[in-house]
Amino acid sequence: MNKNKTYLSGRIRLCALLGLGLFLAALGHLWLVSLSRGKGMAVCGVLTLALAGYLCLVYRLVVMPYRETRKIYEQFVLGYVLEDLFTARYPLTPETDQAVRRLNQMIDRNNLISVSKKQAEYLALQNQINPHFLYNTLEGIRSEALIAGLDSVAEMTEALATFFRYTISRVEHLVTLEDELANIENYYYIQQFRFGDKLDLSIQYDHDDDDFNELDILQYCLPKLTLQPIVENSIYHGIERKIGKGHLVIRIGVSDERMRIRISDDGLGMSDDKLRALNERLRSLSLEDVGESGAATRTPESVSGPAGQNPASGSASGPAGQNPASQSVSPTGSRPAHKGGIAIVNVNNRIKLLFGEEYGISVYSHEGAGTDVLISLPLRRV
Amino acid sequence: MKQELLRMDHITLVRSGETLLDNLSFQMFAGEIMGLIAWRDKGCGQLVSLICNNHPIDFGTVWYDGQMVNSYFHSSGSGNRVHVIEQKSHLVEGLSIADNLFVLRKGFKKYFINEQILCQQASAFLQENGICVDMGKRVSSLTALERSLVELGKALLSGCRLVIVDHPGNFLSHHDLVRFQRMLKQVRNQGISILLIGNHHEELFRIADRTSLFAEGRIVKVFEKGEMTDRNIAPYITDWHVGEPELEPEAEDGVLHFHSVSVGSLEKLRFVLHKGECLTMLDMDRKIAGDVQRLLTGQAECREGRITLEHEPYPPRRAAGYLEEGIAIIPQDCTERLLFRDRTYMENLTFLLDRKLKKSLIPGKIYRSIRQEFWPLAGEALDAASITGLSLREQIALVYHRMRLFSPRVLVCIQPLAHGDMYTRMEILKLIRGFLNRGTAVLIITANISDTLEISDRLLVVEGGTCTAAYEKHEFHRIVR
Repeated sequence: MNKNKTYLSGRIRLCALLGLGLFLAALGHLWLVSLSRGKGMAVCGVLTLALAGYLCLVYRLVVMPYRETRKIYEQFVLGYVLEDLFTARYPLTPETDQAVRRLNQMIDRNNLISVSKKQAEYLALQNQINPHFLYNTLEGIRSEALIAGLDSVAEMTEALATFFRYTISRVEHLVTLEDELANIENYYYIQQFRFGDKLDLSIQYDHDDDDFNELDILQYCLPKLTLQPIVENSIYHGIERKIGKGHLVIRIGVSDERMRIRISDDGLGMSDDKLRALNERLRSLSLEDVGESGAATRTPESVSGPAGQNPASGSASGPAGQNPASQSVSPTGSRPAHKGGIAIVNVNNRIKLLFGEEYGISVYSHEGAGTDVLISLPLRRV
Repeated sequence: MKQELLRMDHITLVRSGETLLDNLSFQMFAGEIMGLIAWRDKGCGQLVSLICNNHPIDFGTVWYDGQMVNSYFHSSGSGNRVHVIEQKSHLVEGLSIADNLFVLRKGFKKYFINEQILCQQASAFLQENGICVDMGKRVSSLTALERSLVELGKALLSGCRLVIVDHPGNFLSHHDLVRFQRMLKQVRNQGISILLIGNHHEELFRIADRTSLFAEGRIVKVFEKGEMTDRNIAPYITDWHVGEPELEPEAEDGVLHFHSVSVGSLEKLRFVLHKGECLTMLDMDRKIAGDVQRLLTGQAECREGRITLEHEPYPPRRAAGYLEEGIAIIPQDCTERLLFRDRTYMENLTFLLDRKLKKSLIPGKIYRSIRQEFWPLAGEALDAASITGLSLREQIALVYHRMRLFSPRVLVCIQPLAHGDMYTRMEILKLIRGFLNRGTAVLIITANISDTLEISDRLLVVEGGTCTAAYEKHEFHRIVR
């Protein structure tokens, strides 16, 4: 209660109410006097109308804009919005406006640092690739060498080299969809040695217009390594534990304002609660997630993963015969236990940082039916 | 390139502590037909309302036609150029079509109206858009299809780029629905978007460019072109199982016979309904339900032919006491027509039971026994002091439970699956299965067979008041739903 008294908004409200009360009392008195004397009622009427008009004006010019700004602050405090704070239509005072702008500059700097930090983190992780990933792949090469011949070994090794070259050697933020899809196809090629026929990938383009074809779509840009972590999540959390064949579909559509990429799998799906929690985190750019350098300290239960699966427990996917404790997913192919499914949140944060909060990721899922990850991006060309 | 017409980003709407829209994201493009299946319809009405009007929301942003029209921090309360075509008419009954199209339009400022010119303009406009309606008719005399077409024309004239069509199968006959869908496709090709809300995925898949599955205030799945198949939707409706029949229908002996009955729209209609059998009548013209109901309740007499119940003639005098004769009828708007809103659940459940018991008061022992019998089915709803607080599913179940108390020989259900979401419909089918298992013969009269075939043993197609085709259960796969 005492704390509320320190806020200027409360004091202003109190003063306004007192002022209004005094004015109403004076007006009431005026009415009583004029009614008892039987004259001066026109003046009272005019004053009453003026008061009503004034109150309407105050409501339109002060109360409504104040409520709007307060709502933005409330949502910011809840962690749902960030950009709206800096673009509020009705700042409280010039000073608070300047203070918010200053904060924006500071956050922007922090954001840049975070993005760089993420890039660095990628590199760091990529330089110490989880041995399991390499072992699996090398085991595949060895098996191929034993069973078949040198041709396939060469092909697989080439695919692996290309994959590493793409993820490690190029550090730019944006790449063309063509490059990103090439990396996915390469990644799929490698995974096929493990999964064989169990995994099926198809890439579809959604365009009605003959003048606008796949080649045009492929020239649009997106943040590097946007698709691969999500495809990897779909494989490990969705398809790997599924009995029977799993299908992955990447569907790309373009509208006048944005590019939409949907990555669907017909795997295990996830429970309602997990989906809700994940979408809750995906709906905004949260500063906590950005600051946490990859969110390594988050509990994996709070994010994604198939129904009933606790990635930390290690019951998650992984190559047969491996230590399950090391089998959750990270964006790079390494799978430390703390990072189960966090890849989607990271990709979402990167998109929001680079393009704004109206872009990002939404997830649709149903237990036993599969998961759709919908990525929304602005139309950008190189 | 596709043009984005509507985008709803992360919409959250909480009313009275209940989350009606839950972080919902939804997009529509210009010139597409988007199907919307309400798997569970909580929040569906609010979604439609939010597309039409910019009411306050708790979180999220709505973009319409390239403009941000609503946001959690500012809701203008204004309306968007969206028109809804639904069971309830949005036309003024007493006025002509031209008046509805032009005079009631925003921005119409003429003080002197030349009716003839107005009619010519309206006629030209409708013809230009491929809409054929007799301009001489008053709105009150329009058929459901004509009314829908005029509303569509009105939407086009007022510059709406999005038209929401809410459950057209509930107010259009089978034939009319096909014609209306053809019209919607035509309008779609002009760049107008259609949001088609329906209960039956088969129906929507046939016409939609994309279909969204809606449940619990959010979109669960969007089926794109090429994905709208029974196989793809199957995992989402796995619990759609109404149970297997416990009794085989008795093919030998019919309970209810219609011997070439003619009255009203019925023309020499003949069929037989067997004990424990579910017979579905597909009412192509959406006309026969009323006549059958009038005949069975004694409000009409056969012009030709006769009706027999258990091989005994069933004249109007006998039909007047249809409940005592073992015929129960559940009309389309059963919750509106058969329930008393301010009465308790038990009072509603036991209504008219005194007639069956032939006692003016229901003895306490029987009352308690009913409570005991229905407790596992209705649960705590049984204690409801008023049924207004009950969900639609519970209210519909109450109607079926009441009919069950009468142990009817014949149950007639008119458009039983017209209302409610997919879960409600499944509940209704389960309740009907319960009747069949007790040996009751069930007659379903519907204009839409999509889900009723799950439970039916036979299907009769009725067109022009007479039976034009009949299918046995093993032939159902031949029917294009």
